[in-house]
Amino acid sequence: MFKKETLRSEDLVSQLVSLFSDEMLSWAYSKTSKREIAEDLVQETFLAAFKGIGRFQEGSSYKTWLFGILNNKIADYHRDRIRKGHDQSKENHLDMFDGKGAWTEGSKPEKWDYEAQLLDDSEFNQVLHLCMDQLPEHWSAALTYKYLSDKKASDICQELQISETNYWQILHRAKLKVRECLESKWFK
Amino acid sequence: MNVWKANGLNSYNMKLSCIKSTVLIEKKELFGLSIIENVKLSFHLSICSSCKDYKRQSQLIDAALRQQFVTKLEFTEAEKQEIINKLKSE
Ligand SMILES: [Zn+2]
Repeated sequence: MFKKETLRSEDLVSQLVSLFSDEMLSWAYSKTSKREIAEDLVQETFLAAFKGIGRFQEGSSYKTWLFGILNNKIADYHRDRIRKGHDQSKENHLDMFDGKGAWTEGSKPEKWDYEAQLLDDSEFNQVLHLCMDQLPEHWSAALTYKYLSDKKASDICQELQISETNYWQILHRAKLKVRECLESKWFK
Repeated sequence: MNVWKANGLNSYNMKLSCIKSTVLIEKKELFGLSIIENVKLSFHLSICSSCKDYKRQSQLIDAALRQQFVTKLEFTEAEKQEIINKLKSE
């Protein structure tokens, strides 16, 4: 009667989903800017987790284990987008510059007024997600992937088998668009 | 001027367009720049306030993406149940 009963795996399923799924969803959304994708990634994570439950080490934390799988899925998702899209990026014309490469009149960056705690403002972060979501998928993937880990840009290029030129061109375009979007949607 | 000539640069080459300077701002952050590129960029930023603003804003975007801000989202109870059912049927 006092013997510690190990959880039946069915109960474990329900428990882990109710304990961690919201936190996992929030995390995945913060790294993908898309709720639907975040939901899929969480579900895939649980599926992979329970298929590999035999590899879970007694004594380690379920949370660390689940988030480890989730982070791999998030990285896979971005890698996949970047690989699929990186050839088409030349088509996109940078309309904020004229033929001589000068900022066109309406496109010049303006001074941004903001408080030091801007980055902790959840509304600002919502607008940032919105702006990221408006980018071509492989641009936002390239931009997000850069900040998923501490990997150096040159290592990322090697890993993704893309040239450094290609990589900074994508990030340059992505930055210009996000900047423009933030200026019109937040700083005005 | 002689210094620039010695480096294969003349005053014309010192000129960087705004589009190129924004490219160099991003490239610098990612891979670093050559000495000549660095000089050109610093020169452009010293005379162009739009690109100077761009640089600050680009750094702010970096900081916003680097931080781990998490917006709280929740599954509905029905969605959770759906996941649980799916897992149990596997
Ligand atoms: Zn400029």
